[in-house]
Amino acid sequence: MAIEKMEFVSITSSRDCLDTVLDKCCESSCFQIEPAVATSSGDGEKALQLLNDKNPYDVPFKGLASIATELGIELIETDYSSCRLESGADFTEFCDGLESSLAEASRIKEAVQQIISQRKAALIQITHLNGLNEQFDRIFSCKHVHVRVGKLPIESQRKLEYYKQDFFFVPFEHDRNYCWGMYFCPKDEKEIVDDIFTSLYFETVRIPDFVKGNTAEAFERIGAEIAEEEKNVEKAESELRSFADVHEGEIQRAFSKLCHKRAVFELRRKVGVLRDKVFIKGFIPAKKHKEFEKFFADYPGAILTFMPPDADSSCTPPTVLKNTWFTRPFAMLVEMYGLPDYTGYNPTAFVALTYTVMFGIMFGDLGQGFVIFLLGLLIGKKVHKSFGGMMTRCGVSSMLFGTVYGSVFGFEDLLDPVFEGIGIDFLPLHPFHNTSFILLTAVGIGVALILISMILNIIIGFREGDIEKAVFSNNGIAGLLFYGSIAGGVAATMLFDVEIMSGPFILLFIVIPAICIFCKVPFAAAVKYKELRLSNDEENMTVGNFIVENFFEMFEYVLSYVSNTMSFLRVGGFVLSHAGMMLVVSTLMDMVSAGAKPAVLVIGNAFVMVMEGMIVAIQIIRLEFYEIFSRFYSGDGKPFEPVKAGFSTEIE
Amino acid sequence: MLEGYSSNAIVAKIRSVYGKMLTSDDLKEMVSKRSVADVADLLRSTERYSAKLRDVDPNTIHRALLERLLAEHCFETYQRFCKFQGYENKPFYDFLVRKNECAQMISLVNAVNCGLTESFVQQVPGYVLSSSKIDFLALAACGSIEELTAALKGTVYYKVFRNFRYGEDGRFDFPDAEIKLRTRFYNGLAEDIKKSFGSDSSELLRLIGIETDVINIINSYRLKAFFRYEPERIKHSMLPYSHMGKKSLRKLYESSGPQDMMRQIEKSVYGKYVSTGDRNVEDGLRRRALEIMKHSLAKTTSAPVALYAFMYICENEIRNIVRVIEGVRYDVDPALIFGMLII
Repeated sequence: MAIEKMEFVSITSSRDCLDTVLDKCCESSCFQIEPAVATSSGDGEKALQLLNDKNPYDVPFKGLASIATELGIELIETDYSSCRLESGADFTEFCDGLESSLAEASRIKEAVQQIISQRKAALIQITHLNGLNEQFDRIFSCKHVHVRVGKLPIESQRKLEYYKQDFFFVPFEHDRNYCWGMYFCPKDEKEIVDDIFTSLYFETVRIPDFVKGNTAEAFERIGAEIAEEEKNVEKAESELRSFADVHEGEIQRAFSKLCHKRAVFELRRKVGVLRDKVFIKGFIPAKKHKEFEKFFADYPGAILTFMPPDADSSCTPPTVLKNTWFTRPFAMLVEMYGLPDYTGYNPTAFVALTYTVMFGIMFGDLGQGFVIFLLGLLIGKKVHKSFGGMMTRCGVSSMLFGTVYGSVFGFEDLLDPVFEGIGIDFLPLHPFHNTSFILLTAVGIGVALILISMILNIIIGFREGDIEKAVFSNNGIAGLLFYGSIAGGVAATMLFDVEIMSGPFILLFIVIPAICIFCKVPFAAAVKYKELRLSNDEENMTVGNFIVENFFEMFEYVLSYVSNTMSFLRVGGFVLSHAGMMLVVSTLMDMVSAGAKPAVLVIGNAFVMVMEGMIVAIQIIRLEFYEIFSRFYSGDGKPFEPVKAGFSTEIE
Repeated sequence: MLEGYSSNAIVAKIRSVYGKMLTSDDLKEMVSKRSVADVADLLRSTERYSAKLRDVDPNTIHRALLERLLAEHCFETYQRFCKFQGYENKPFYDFLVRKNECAQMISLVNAVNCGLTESFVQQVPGYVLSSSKIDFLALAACGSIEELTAALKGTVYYKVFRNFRYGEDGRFDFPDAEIKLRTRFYNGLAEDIKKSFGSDSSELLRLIGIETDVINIINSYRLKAFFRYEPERIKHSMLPYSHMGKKSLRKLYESSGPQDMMRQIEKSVYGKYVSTGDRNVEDGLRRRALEIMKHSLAKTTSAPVALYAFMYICENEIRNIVRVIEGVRYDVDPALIFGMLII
């Protein structure tokens, strides 16, 4: 249960073999490519350069995708082994061939669609002139009268009364801001009246020549024209469909191959080139070493060099979590927070254990746990493997703790005879009879988990050589002593009546650690660099500033110790809340008739399982992320993403 | 107590609309547009203006009409607030109607004086015509100031018009008319505030004082820098309201020159965004006034204060959009346009 070992691989080959090498890298499914870094030293041929060639597959990719759309073909990944096309030019030629065969049908369809859209636009304009009973052509052919159709802002309509010129405006329809209509004026005053209307923001609408008759007639005629043209579109589309039926297989194969070729070519941007040699670098999991080597065994054109993961300082090794069957589903939570560094600590086992136990404690019910276990199996198979896995483990834990509480689908006394039979008198542990014990145990669990988190932080700190983190920080040895001794002192005094908070104890385990936390930066600097330094970031930190800053930090640490510990009270709280909710279900059952009891039992249990189950799951994630992870874990690792030439229809 | 609760409701409503106003990022995107049509299209896609510009065709709309529609939207928002609370007929709450009326009256006086009433008719906003009791279209038919004064008999403006000054050569003194009309507006507003509001009146009067201070300082700087006016003459060209105090304003008017005046402004309560090296004093002052209004809107629990501050912020937003539209129309560098916005 750690982090998968990685190897750094450098592949050198001649430039002609580049596509084949990249292809093999994709095929291996275990190689993560790292971008090459161009060197600034050396000039011209002596410097490592990046390949920035234009992708020749881009144009045919867009072309083929648009042809497929036009033909109504849904592109799906297809076996393309029989496709003979290779270069960008081949694919372009293939596209051109298809386009020329489609040209006539497409042209007809496009032209007809244009006519339809023109007619539809005209219909919208005429809609605003509803009520006009005069023939359009008669209006526009007046000899002495000038006419304009359009829309006038409503506020301008009122202003028309101000003008004394000879014109009149006929409104037809209003929308929120405009009044649609037409104005008439003598042809001699056309310029003046047009100016007036322009100044009032009148927007002229051109009625197309094909609009004849009055509004109603025009509607009818244009409607009929649209119907006629739609038949032509249908005809053109049927031609395209039969073309698609004939060529679909060929197009699917070509597109799948094109996708692959394009994606492989895209990887060239990460390749370094020096004269006629190309250099590819990346990581593979160490266990895949032989498998990867085998891919290139029959290909002498490429030279593989395997090195330790830290061989190239410009590349950060990726992280792959190595987990057992029990902990594997919980990796989902760790990934959600962020992966650990390659050299860091994999907390999945810790999360798996604490999550499962806390879920069982908070949601303990033998019957409901069993249902969650079954659901987990189903979800794991059909929907989401990790989520299902988590559910099965939590379900088992819930069953175990349900047995301890003696709870089966909310029946708290069903297991009493069993315990009596085998002679265990301290079980079952009925939550409502042991409230204080449950709450104190919850706090105890919290203290234990916080202390474990601190110990993990100390180990990680020493491993990283970070004295400040391991020894002097609030989660280091000083913090461990400070928090542990206060928690231990309080527990001993209040629960066991043992007075250990003596003067020397307070001085040794509380005061000195507190001073260490307060002065963690100067103390760590003194140990590490043998010099006095008040801040790691600010060079000119004054003593006053240092005291004020650290006073508030110290205050925050103490507050966080208290609040984080109290936060674990929710573990006990949910034990009581679960029992309480099931009590409500059983009360409701008592209130209804005998026939309705099973329905209440099923609905009540389902409701509690869904609602409380979800809340408990979320609350534990919260505890894991905030109270535990924040003490020792920083998820700044890099995920392992093996290179692949995937199928995609998206055009960037 | 119920009055207090209803005031809280309207303040909350105002703040929720304030939350939907254009952000600095929206304006940044707007200045990068290539044409007025693109700006109109962007505005149409914003939550704030989408309903108002729904029927507008961004490709054909005239930019002046676009600006007018945006201003109308602000006015409608103000009317909606007043209607929501039943404030339409209460004193003070018609302040925006009166402010618009005052602005149009000044415009009308100028138009009649210059014989350009037709352009006045074209530019007077429709929402002013429908909200004001003054029939501006009928007044636009007047051929002279005397005729206009006679037509206003029976209205609140008659007394002001009667006191308009004419020069010795019989020429009408337009700047004097403008000051008198504005003074009448602020006088009326202050009277209403003192009569209607108890504890809120001091904050409202402070906001009005800030607004007039900004107008006075900008005008006095222009008169000093570009027209070389004497302090006494500047004083007579100013509005009689102030938050910073008459003494401080007097000191400003008496400064030895524009540089000295700029230095004094920099030291004043409005000097936060003004520095002696600035090319104009206007942007810094408006930015400061906007900041005060935003602060007032954020902390107040009083409906009139929130409404007054919010409408000032709205007017500023419209001014910003108009600047963007003009800048885009004349192909000004986006960074330069953005720098000119008051945000």
